[in-house]
Amino acid sequence: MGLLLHQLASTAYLLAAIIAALGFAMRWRLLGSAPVVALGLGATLQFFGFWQLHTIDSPPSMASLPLAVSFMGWVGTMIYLVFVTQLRIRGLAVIVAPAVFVACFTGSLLLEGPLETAEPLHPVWSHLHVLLSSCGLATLGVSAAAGLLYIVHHRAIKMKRKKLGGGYPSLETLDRVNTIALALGFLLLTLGLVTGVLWVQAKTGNFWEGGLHANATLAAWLLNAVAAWGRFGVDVGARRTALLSAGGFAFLVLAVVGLGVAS
Amino acid sequence: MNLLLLGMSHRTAALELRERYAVTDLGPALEKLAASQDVEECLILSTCNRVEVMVLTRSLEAARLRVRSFVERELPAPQHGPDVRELDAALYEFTDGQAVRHLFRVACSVDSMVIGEPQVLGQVKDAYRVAVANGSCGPILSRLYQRAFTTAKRVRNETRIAERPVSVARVAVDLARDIFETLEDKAALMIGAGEMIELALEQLRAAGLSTVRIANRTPARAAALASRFDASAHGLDELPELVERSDVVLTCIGGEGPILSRDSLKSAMQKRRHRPLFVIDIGVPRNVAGDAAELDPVYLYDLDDLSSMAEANAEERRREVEQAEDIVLEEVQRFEGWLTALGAVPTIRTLRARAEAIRAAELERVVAGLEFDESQRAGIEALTRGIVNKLLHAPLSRLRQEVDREEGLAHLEAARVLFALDDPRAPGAEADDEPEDA
Repeated sequence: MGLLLHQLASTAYLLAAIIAALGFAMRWRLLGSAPVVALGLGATLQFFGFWQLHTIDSPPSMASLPLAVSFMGWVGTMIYLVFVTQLRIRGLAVIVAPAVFVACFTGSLLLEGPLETAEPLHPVWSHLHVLLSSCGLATLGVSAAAGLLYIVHHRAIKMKRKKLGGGYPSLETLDRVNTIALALGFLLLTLGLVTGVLWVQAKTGNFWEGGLHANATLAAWLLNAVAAWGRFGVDVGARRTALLSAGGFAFLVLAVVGLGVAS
Repeated sequence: MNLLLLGMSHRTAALELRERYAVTDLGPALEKLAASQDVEECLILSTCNRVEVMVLTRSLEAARLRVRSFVERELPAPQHGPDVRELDAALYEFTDGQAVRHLFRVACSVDSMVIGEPQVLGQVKDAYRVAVANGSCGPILSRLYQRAFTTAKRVRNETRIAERPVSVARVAVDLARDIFETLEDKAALMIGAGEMIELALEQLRAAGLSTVRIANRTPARAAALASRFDASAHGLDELPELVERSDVVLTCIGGEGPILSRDSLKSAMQKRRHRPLFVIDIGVPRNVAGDAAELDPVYLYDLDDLSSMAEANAEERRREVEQAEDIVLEEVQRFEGWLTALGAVPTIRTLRARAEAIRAAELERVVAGLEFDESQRAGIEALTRGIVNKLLHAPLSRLRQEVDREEGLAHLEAARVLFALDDPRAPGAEADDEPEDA
């Protein structure tokens, strides 16, 4: 049942992505709220999917990559939906919807295989680490999506070129989403990193065991720290922050998800 | 019944001629026109771009002469006599389906000088309201104009004909909306106090811009404009500080060199801490140094940039016209279907009345010399009525069903010819004058 709900959620996300892409390419203002509704539906289905998976006798561990990736998609959707209620940011669905579809679909594909069950020794640290890191990654993903759209939109206005597609949020709105999500995402990622260190310490007695995943994640955290410092410390401006947050997120995905899948 | 539309527009008449025939007070003009026995219903549309008279008539030729004479003699202002030759060249005429199509095109702004402009629909609605208030607009013209409004709404929703702005000022406002989330908490600086500044200011105010400062070489002119727009007036010596405090700078002022250099804007941007600045330079020669566009985040647009964007948008609107024409055609057919259906009702009614009159007359002739009791007479009465009803059932049903289709009108005409419904000497024709049976 949990798997079926994940698959249904993937379908809703795919629908949202198609509608958002059509609305963007054809500049159909009438489709404006349809992707948001489809994303909301997908998030609801996915929530019940998680609920089902965690009420079975031996629930899978949140630390298993498929669940973590799927969870990131869900958090990203929820953060986007919260922003939509506060700001005119519906146009961002053109990036958010396909991204969460990929996350949820990949998760539901991997859910079909054997899953790790919750770690019996240090369940609190492992869960906290995965939850906080996933939330951080998803929030930074929303920040990067806003940053990416900011760069495209800024370039079109600055160069006085005809924009590709339509329905862009204003630069000011994109910058605001980029900044808020960057601050929140960096905080969550930092907490995720700290709990990860505590988990390792509880398991091995050492605070840092090293390894490709841990070192790459630390590097990605540093890159995001530079983005956050650039925005809140020296104020490098909206365009540079957008570039930094997009770059930081790309590296983070590579470090956490890419290396996780490879290993 | 026929529809007749007679008028002139920006396509056929110069502004001077249109002004001469413009109707300022529609009420009395409608009363005069409606008083004519050849005019059943009428409506006058008078805007700066067109003067058009739409009438519904039973006699097309007579109405044509009446409307023509009305336009020629009663529309021009008293100081201007009619210039028949000039008027002949300017007037166009449409009847029936063509008149419907023209009206729908006008309401959809496909026939406007600026395609897609929204004002004309409001003007058509106003003309309709006046005609309704004056009692000159009856059920058929009411239906026609309601259909025109629906068509205009469809065109606006289903095409992109009105989506992109085509005036320099509106393009600037749209760009400002692309940059800022809202203009309500933004401040604008206007450099200059001329007509262009005033036009742009009107658009920016309409878009919700809250704070406006006007700077000019002649402070008195700045103050005069500021008082009209609830703005503050300043001298050009205050420019550095004003730029720093503004989000939108619009400049259109005479002079030799640029009044805002790259360095002055760079210095302002440093103090603004990376808040975006939208600079619209519509001065000729330009008021802002071109290399200031390299600064980040300064968005600098000059008159050429805005004009080319406005022209590109106008081109896009022109491309949408084809789709709008399809919608217009669809709605014209729908209206004509309704009109035809309206025409079917009297035909069906006449046919039934004639058949009933023939039946009753023949029955009376046959039973007059025979002796029947009441029940026998009722039986024969029911028998003949049944035969007539069965014979008429198929053709009448067919007429009702097909009346909305293209061939409906042809069948209606055929029925009138085959049953000689227009011949007053045909058997049963005396029933045409009798009041309708419930």
